[in-house]
Amino acid sequence: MNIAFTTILLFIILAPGFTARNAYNSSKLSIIDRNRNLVNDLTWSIIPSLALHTFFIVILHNTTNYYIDFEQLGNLILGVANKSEASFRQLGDYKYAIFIYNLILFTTSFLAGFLIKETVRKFNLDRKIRYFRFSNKWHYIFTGECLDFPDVPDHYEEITDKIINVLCKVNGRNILYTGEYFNYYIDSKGDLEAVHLRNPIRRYLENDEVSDEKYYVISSRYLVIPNSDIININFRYLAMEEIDEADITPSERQNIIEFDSDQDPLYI
Amino acid sequence: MSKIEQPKEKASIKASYRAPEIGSGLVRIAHKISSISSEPQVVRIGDRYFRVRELG
Repeated sequence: MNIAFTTILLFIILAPGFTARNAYNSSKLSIIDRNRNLVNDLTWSIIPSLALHTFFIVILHNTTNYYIDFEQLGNLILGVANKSEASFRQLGDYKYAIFIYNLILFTTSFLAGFLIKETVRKFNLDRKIRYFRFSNKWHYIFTGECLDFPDVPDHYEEITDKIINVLCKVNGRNILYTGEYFNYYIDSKGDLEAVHLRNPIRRYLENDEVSDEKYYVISSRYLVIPNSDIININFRYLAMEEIDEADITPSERQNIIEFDSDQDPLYI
Repeated sequence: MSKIEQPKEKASIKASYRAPEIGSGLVRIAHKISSISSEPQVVRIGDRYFRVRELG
């Protein structure tokens, strides 16, 4: 018996937890590092694997005539020299039963991980309880789900529009890009790679001057800003509801913010 | 000192589809919408009126 076989056997034993964890982290909510450490992943799979194996062993022992022979399993893992021949013979005798058991176990593990993730999302547990939060923090910021975090006023469901200001440094000058949120991109480490804006406008940020004349409408509907240029990002979550002119109160009428594309020379 | 009454009903209607002019217009006037006040403000984009409130 060599170390390689023991390693393969341990991997098979830990595979249910590994599969369940991968299914749980399969969405864009989780950061998937392609260069991750397999040993680290397997270590984190020990407890889910033990739980899944225990569950399946209980079902197997109580509903079928089959049982797990822990003595033979121990011999195979520890590589007991004088008993390995008998253990392999027994493996050969029950190869189909072992294969089907593992096939059902792995499939159930995948579904369990997937269903737990769906349950967490359905009941918003990741927004309410920090422990359930997924690793991609940018998702909660860009989508506005962070409004459902404890102690934050208002709710994610109220958001109708997201306006993003991105402050960039280009050729030594600070430029403020403003646009509607369209998408964002992260790398394998979970760091922000780029921000994708819709209907972008920009202005140079000098002495914090704000006037309509300072803005320049970029003649494009979409703009991607790479993270290497970004200094900081400002998020505005808006609840916007169309109303009739008759519904406007006198005090609101005095403070209407107006935008008319026909009278805007920069509007494209 | 008076308490500002917040609207009880949530604006749950998502902007699933909207003319590009509205989105573009909102971007142009976003800097005029107060972040300090939690009171809704009325904006006119073209010939349409919207009540806007910043969340959070």
